[in-house]
Amino acid sequence: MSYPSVRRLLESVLWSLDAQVAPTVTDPWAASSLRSIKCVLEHLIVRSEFDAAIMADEYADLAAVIDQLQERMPDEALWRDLQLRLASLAELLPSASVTASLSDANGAMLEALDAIVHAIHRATDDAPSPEAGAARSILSDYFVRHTERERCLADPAFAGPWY
Amino acid sequence: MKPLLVQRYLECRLEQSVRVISCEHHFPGVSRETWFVRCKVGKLDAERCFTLRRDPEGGAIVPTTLAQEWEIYSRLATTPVPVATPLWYETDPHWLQDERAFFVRDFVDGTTHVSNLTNPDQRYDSLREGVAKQHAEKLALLHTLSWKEHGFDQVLPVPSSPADSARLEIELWWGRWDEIRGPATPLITELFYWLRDRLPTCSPRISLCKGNNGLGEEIWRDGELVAFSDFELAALSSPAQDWGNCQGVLALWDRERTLQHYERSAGYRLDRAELTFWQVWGVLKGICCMSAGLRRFVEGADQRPVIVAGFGRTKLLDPLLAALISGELSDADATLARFDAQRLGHPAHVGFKAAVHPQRRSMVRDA
Repeated sequence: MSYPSVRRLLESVLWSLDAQVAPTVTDPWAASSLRSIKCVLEHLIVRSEFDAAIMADEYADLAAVIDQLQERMPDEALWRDLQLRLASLAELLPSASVTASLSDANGAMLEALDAIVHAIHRATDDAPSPEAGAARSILSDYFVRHTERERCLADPAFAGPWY
Repeated sequence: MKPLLVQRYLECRLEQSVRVISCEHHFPGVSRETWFVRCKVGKLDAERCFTLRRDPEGGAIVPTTLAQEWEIYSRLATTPVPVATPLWYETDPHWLQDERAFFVRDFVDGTTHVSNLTNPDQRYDSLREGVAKQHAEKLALLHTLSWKEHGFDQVLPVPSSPADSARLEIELWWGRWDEIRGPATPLITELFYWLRDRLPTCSPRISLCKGNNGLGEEIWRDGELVAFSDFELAALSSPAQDWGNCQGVLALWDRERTLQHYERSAGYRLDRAELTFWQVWGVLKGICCMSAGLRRFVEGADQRPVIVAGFGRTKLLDPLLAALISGELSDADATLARFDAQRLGHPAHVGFKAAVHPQRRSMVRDA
């Protein structure tokens, strides 16, 4: 017999908080903490099951988006700088913990994408071009996919009253 | 707050004997702590109540200082704008706990919660109308104040002209965002650019703006708004900014008639497109504040799970942000309304405005 899944463990904690702890809590600060703890636990249940898949999808999407943007934003200085930054990804990914390395890799690619967003706007400020418009369209589409991908991490876990 | 320390402090300040009866940490107060101190003073045992305000143990969530909020209170005390009388700002380490400065103001009797305000029964429609109108009148009083005469330009950045209000605000907070943000968030960067490219220049004047205002913020007694409370996000800016940040007041009664009532009281008109800009900005500003809180949480300075819950609520807004930046400012009003309706339609939600504003007490309680 192996250990129960993370979901079952957290569901059990949530059940005991709801059934046995919450009814006895009258202090508003304690009740508020309890609500927050339950939000965090609900979030952790989703994380425990989908974190790796979400991060892997995000990684693939970011890599594709950055490639597409490079085609439309021929800014040599920008890409030289980004290539240096992104080169370290190769070292990150084969490391022992896949989830941790994906998280680091995505962090690095988001930093790169952030730099690209700034570069796109600098270019647009100087002289609006069809290329910059196309780049912004690629970004908009990515943001929609990104928010849809991560929606389950927040909704419904954090959707109730805040405190 | 240690009651004995507070007692000795008040004795020193009042130069009379003081006996603290209760020292209550006001709920919920996430961004800053508010304490109500009830005590007996002097030989006659006269009852007095004070309000103490300080940053949470892990530091303020809002990227502004307690000292700035004190300065706002101090200057407002000499104006017709209703606020609690500020008494002392304390930085002497002898009186501090955990090196946290605090300020003391007179206690104003009342509540931030107006009973039945969100009760859908038609009997309360006139209550909603009254609250909306009164909030509008009091905001007009604040916004038409001569900020220069009262020295607010000594504590807050001043736009070079009314038309410069939005530019200054975005620039200021973009700088703050760069300091407080954790890992890169291109969606937020894009939204800053989206706003920068759509700056309104039609502000009717520069006003002292309260910042987060509206339901759950101010102190009400017997149907009267008796004090504006909490000025942590105060700014010299377009008065429309406060309407973009009014946490449900415009949804209480007829939105347009509420605004017209305000305009009659203030003596100028607000451009509705400008108002939409500030509504979008209100969403982003709330996200900036919660992200600052999350940063402290990640660093281990703030242990409260409510910070994660608050940040999680801002993540519910990501689809809204993605929708906003794919459209124009003229679409934003409809996008905001659609998103709010979707959220309100979900029994577990209390509206996207509540998700980003630190202290929307009454709506949350009613929900």
